[in-house]
Amino acid sequence: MRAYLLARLGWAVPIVIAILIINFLIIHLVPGDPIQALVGDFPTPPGYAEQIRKEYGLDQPLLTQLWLYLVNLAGGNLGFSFANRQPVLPLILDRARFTLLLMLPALTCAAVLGVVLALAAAPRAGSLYDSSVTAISLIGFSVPIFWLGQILIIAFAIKLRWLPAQGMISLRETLTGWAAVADVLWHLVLPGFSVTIYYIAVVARVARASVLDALSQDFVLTAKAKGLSGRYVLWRHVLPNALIPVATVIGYNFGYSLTGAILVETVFAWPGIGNLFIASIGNRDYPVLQGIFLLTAVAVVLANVVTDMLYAVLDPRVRGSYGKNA
Amino acid sequence: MQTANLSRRKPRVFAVLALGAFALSFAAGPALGQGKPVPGGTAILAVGADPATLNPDVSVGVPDIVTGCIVYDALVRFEKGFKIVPSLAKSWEIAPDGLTYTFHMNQATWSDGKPVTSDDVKFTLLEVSAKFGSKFVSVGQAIKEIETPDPLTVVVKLAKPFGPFLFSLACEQNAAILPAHVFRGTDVLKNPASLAAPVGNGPYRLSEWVRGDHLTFVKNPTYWTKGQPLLDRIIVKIMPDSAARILALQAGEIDYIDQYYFPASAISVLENDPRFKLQEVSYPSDDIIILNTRKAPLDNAKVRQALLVAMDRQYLLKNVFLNTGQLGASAIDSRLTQFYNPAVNYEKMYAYNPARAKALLDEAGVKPGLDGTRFTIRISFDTGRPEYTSAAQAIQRFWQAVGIKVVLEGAERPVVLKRVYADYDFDATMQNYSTSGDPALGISRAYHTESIKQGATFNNASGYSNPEADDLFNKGRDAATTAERAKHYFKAQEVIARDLPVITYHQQAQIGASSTRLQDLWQAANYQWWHKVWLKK
Repeated sequence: MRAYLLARLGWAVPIVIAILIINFLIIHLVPGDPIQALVGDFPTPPGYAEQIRKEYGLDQPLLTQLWLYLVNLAGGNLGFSFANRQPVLPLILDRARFTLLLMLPALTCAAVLGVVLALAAAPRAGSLYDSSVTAISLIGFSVPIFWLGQILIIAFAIKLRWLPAQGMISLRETLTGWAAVADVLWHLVLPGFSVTIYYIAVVARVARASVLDALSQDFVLTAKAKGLSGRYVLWRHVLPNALIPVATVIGYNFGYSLTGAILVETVFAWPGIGNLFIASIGNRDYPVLQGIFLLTAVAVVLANVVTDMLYAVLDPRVRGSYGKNA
Repeated sequence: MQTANLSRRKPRVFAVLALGAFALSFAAGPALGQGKPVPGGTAILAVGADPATLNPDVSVGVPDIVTGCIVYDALVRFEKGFKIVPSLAKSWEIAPDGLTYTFHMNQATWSDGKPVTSDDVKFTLLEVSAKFGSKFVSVGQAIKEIETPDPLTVVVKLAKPFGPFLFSLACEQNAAILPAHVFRGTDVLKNPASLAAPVGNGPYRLSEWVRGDHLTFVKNPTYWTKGQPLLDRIIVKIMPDSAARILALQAGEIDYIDQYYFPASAISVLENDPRFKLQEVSYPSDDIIILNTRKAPLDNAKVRQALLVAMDRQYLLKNVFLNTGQLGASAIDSRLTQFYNPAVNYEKMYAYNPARAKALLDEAGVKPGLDGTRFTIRISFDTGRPEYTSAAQAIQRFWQAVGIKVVLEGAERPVVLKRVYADYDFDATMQNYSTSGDPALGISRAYHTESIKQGATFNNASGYSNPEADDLFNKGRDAATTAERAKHYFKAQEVIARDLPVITYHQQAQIGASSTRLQDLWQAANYQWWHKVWLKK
């Protein structure tokens, strides 16, 4: 098991480097000049643009820039943001906190609720309840998240005035202690709900399908034939078998959680990575974009490794196969 | 022009009243203030991005100027009608030859306690604004030397008269006065005062910057104008999404959306709601089509005239710009009343008339081929501006009606800028040029031969080069009086109306949206008057 884990992590290194090189080339292929974004809509003084270009190494050939980037990266230096004029790593980590604050509770709620809904719906396949869960999942999955966000703002912030429309804190007051915590939670409600609805739909759809699949297996028939209760069969036999695809989809989305809320962050002016990402594309802020790609790639690879480990916990057959291969 | 004899006379004092003659009067409107100003409260305004720098002299980015000009004062400000009024300079004299300006400064202090001196002014204008300020660079070239006879007197000597000189000393013209003791001998762009910790002389001080979310500015307790500023705090909220900004204003969570970030399409959402006020702020800008005169048949003035005649500008004003702003009349925006030549009016000279457009094209020898097409024109435009996509589609229809095949090349802004200004790979491009309040600052750049600079943006991309026009723009810039300047600009407009390297089809309205609680906002909306803004209880 440990050897398997080390092998997986070992493989992750070349994968991440390949992702970085491909991303580096792709974002530099996109036309547009970061210096233009910096100096704005007026002719620049002579030498100014060249000075900045040189300062940020943008006057070097592309491959030299790539090499310098990788060398710096090996030393733990993710570069310097053109547009924010500060080092990339603290900039990204600072914003990542806010994204995780939004995404982790939302994904956790979605994972639990999605599985519970599916477990309740699948054994009654075709019933009104099941059809409702399916329909709600379909809507949650298909409704554009930015549209839902705006509708929620109009309803709860503008019409009813129950909840804040945007941001993470109330700017007009200066709150401290528990009042500040409550204020952040209050601001979390609408964006959190928008994200959760989408992920509940994602998880419930997969979970329902895999529970249905497990229900049709011979061992379920056997268990029932032995006289076990329906609920016992569902929790003890069906659920562990159905959880593998669910774990996959949840793990995958946890990996993407850093950039998974770009639209919600934009609609709710949430100061996370998603907002930084959009601003950096507009500014052609290559070092920040590379930094976000790196962080996302690492998070996805790690989430996949953790998911693999989770398979072993959930399914003894997988545990066995790890032992053999390793 | 002034004579040598006049210049030997004792300099006459032309203080504030005389300078009113310079003022532009296009933005007159009802008084904004309601009731007696009261101190206190927090105002929240929204911009689309974090500032890249807090030094307003090294950038023209809107967030940079918005925030920088809250922290710094400049020598002068302009008030409604673009009248120049004192700020750090309490008065000034101009020599009759227009070459020497003597400023007397107010006693102000930096936020680190040191006094603001004439040396700060000299250092800022020569070492920062002239070297890093895109808007100030041409002014910087006109400055011969700056003398500092005492700590509160600055004497600026110009190499040649420069009409918009005083106007160019306002904060948002890259002329905020910076602390020499903080910047001298350092890398201006990387100085901590440029990046995150400004040492200011303005009405507010930066107290917090949560990147991606907001910047908080608190009242400067030692501000040089007693009893000001009025607001306790100003918060600049970062909101990249235009719909989110409007929803936040409606929910009462922000008080003001800067004009740059307020789309015309949102006017109908707010205009009938008494809680909000929409007002025209800032100096005018024009929506223009730059034609690449390097390419046949666009090198023929008759063809360019035909393109204008074939455009139904009234349709664009009504359906694309939703009746905001006005029709383009001349190369110089008609709202710059001192300089606009009323004899030039595109609506009369080049009224919409497809039959006439066809005739002009025939005269130019651009006849239709077998398929009815005369030639193909590619329009390059920024899809990030929704109104440009609609306008481009309408123009495609207008031009195709006279036998010109139109290919729309909409792309993201950086792509368009590269194609147009670096590669010259375009036939026609839709752009918006600010007048900067003066033809010498914002308009001549689109026509002057000296502004043909491949790789540099927002200059003369058409490649138009006409010594007659250059001469008139030079004289308009250099003449000592407004009347004299106007005379040359009047002629320049006639020349441009004939040659039309650039089609000015719409004069844009710069509209800012605010809560009606926020009072006396106009000057603040022009990035230099926050100390007078107050909140109605």
